[in-house]
Amino acid sequence: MDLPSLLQYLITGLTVGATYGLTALGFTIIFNTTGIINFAQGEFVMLGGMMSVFFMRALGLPEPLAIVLAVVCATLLGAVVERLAIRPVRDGSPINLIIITIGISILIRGAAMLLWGKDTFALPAFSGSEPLSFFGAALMPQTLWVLAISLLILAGLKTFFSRSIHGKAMLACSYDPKAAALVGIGVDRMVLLSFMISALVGAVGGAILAPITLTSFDVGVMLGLKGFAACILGGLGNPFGAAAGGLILGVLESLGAGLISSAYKDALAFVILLVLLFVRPSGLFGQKDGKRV
Amino acid sequence: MQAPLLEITNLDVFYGKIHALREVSLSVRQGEIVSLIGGNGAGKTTLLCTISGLIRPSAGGISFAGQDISRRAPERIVQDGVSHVPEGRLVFSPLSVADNLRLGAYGRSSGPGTRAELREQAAEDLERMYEMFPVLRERKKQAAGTLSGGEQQMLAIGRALMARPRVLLLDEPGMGPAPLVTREIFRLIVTLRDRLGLTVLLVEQNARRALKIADRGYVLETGRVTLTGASQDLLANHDVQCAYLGHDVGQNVRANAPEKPSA
Repeated sequence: MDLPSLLQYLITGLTVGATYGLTALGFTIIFNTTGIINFAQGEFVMLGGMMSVFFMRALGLPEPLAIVLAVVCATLLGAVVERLAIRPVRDGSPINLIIITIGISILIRGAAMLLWGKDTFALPAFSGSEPLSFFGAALMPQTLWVLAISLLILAGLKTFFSRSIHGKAMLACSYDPKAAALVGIGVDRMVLLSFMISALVGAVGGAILAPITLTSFDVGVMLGLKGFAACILGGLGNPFGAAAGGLILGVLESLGAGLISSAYKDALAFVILLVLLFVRPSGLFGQKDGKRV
Repeated sequence: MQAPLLEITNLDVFYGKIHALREVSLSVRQGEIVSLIGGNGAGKTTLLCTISGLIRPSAGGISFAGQDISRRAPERIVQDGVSHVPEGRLVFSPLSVADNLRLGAYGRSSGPGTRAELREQAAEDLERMYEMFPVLRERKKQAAGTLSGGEQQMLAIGRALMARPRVLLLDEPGMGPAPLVTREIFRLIVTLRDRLGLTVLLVEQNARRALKIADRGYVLETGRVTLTGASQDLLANHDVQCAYLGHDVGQNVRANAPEKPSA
């Protein structure tokens, strides 16, 4: 295989992988504060893209404004989901909560279908669609946007969790909710915040990817599953692992599609996931064993 | 006599169907060290967790400084001035020692004063903690989980003090660390009371150690307060000696001593 096409696969993989990474980060943040997997995560990615399209078309807003508004709405919806569907049953077992999130995901998807129909929509690229040539590979400007914004979000989250006292308080909730409550951290508020941050990160991912992969009411299913796979790949609960897992998954998927067959593109992600679960269940960057007591 | 700072009246707590606390009444006055002794499963930890809001009582009242706090959220109770150092310390292991201490002041971040003032207060308090526990200063950048048991206990106490509490609830502070360190921690508890006027409710498996520093004590058995009195009286009490102090009280006494599980 020649260098340009390898490079092309890499670029495509990194672009899609960045979105998987953002989705995986969303999973991680909620998992860390609550111990549950939020299977509605993919729907927030879908909403990011679909609402951007909707705000542009129906309200005639300029694209940047439409995206910001879409992200804000998705974030608020994340808060609503936590307050209405999660908080009343917070003390239930994780498995019940996880099933509730599946219900939420079906509900959101259904509502999106009723509102916007089953069509596929495209969001215009942020800055033109003239490909740049990069060592013989075609580089869409949108790819740069996706990578840059993903990096920005990653850096923002990193700063939040390592510098801000609120970020640390949120981490504290994940390490020990009981001790967190005893030092005066409102655990309920932190869970709410984690749903909002996850929704925000997911929606941004959906909005920046929409110009490349198109969007429709049901893209959340696959993106959610891929994000979840990325999360497991990187080691559940590890934000760095989640982001890296997304990129790795994206690149492998793109290489697989290019070198083997694009028909198996989606299957490949899950084959990788299965193999990993057999070989290294704690993920690439996860702790080897259970917690030390 | 002044009104008690912390007063618990007829408290009932259930864990599912288990009646964990039965009509427990207890009071702690300002500046007192009160210790709660009793065997495993007597309900000591449950009582502390109920005071700090982690467990909801099904009946009875908890009043702190004249206000009923029995329905308040845990974080609110910390803000009100009751800090609980839980059993097993529960430091945030992956976070640094300094971060653990800073998080202790988290509840105050929504208190009165501007953000700059609050930050300054927290920085001053942090400095005070380092003076009180020099070992924590040496290790401030280390992850809390890498500290020894005794150091973690000091960190947990320091973290609780960062909230500027009026009452400190201590659950088994002597459990785990080496005996020498434990002695140091107990000395510290007395110092905290003497110097900061802190009020302490202490739960301790080692009844002798606890009663030695306490003003008064309560004996808890299967969820009930069975005995209460001044520490000297409890230390001298025959039943307490048999059950909790491990005294060899002699054959003649042993015959009519109440039967207790020896653990």
